[in-house]
Amino acid sequence: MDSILKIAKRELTAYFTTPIGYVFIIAFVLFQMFFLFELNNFFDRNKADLTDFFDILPFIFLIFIPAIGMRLWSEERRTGTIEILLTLPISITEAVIGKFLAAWAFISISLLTTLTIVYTTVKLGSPDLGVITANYIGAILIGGAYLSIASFCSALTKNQIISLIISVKICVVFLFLGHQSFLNIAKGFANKIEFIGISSESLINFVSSFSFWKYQINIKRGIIDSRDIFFFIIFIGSMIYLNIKLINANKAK
Amino acid sequence: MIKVENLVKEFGSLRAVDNISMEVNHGEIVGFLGPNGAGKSTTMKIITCFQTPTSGTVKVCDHDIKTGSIFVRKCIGYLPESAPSYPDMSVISFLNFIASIRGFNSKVAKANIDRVVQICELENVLHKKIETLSKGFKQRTCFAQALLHDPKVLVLDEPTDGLDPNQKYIVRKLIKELGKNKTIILSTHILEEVDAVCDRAIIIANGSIVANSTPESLRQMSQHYGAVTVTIKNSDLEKTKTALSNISTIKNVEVLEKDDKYFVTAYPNEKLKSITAQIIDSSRNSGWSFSQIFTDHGKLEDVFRQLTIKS
Repeated sequence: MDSILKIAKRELTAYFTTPIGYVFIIAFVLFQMFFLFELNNFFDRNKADLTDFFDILPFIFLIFIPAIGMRLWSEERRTGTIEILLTLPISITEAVIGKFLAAWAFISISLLTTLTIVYTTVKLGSPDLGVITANYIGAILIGGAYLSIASFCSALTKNQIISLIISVKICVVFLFLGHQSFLNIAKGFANKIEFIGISSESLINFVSSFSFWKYQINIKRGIIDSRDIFFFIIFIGSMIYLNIKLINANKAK
Repeated sequence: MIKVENLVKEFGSLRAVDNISMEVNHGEIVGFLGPNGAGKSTTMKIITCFQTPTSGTVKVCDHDIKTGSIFVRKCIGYLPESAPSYPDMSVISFLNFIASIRGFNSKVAKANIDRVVQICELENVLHKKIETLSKGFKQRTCFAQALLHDPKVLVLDEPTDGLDPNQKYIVRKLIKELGKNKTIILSTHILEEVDAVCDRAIIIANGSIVANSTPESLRQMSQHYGAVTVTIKNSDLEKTKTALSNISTIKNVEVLEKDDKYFVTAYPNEKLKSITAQIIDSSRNSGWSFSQIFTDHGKLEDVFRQLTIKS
């Protein structure tokens, strides 16, 4: 446990001793401002809520979080520091969790910068702060889920770009599985095919039950259901477990 | 201290380490030699628990790398090839990080950091970012990391690679000094290094050990060991050749011409019996003279080539 925090501390510090952290946060903020105020006409709608802001967040995250996660392990492998890290008297589990927590904390810090948008909204009207808080929790959870995918992909290869592309793809799949656009296509498709013994409806529901989209719908409305939280925690835990297994397998390769 | 038994490591169909067994005792400095890709680094990575072997066992300080990996890592200091360290950190923060992971409280950490900074002569770069340092300082920073917990065993993968002659000298002196009370295994392909620092050399080729003895007895394996070369004048050539060929302890004689001088090399029947005295006597008695005489003590390079190309 102690080692996890030490690893996390070093990793988190690294975001702020290099330009990466600052560049990332600035890009992140500008990107969302652009979406919110330019594409979404925030000021013309006369509604003091942030629904649209939190609607686009999972899509912005699709690019930004794999970009944070891609360096977690591939950078260590590229520079060879992984040999230092894994020959220190710590377990792989501690290293993986430590690195994950640091990146997750960094994402949460980046999210804090969006509080200016909340401030603007509060000044302009009276938004439901409970809903906003729930949305932030949802954003951190979905961010963690993306990050766990990105961290796993990062351990697959020395090449950060490859790891970025793979993790974006996987994140897209997990997001859209439960999105209405996917469901419409799947259902339209399923009507044409006869499944033997399994109703196409339940199959689609089963597949879509793995989607991040589905679990954040409630959170978006301000309802924090323990099942939704549970899903994200189980998902993140499983990905971290696979990440540990993967690094162990790399040792034996 | 280090005991390797029947170690095998396969990468797909490639057998990088092929049934290696060896032992390194307390207080010994062992040089690990071999061409690129011979399996030196792989063996060292297995000893330091960075990779797991396909089969075979390794014990370090009586702990098995499989069952006591954490203990093994506690008693080893490891300098990986090309001395990696976090480029965005300063030397001091890097050492602080390693010290905290090694579980030192701040007082012990400070004492240990002061010690390794002094040993590795890092005083002037403590607060510089590692990425801005020269190769020599990067090397010594990573070396300092390996020494921080005053380990019983040091595993050094090409510790002087890429350093200039002065830096090499410093690092070798350091290794020699540390070897007095530590067990050290170092890999290199600089053969003079083996002579300069190692008590024993292990030569490995294609994943197997082809030689394992002191640098001196390795040199005795050289074809040229014990050969005596005399430099003579043109006019003395025939006389010298005949005289040397008649000495019973000389196996054969070779002649080389260079810049109007002749170099006559005599090879002994038995490498360990010196023929120098007989040659000097022959010169006196048979009426030929030499301007220089040189006894060859064998070059490790020759032995290295003999052993690694053959296999």
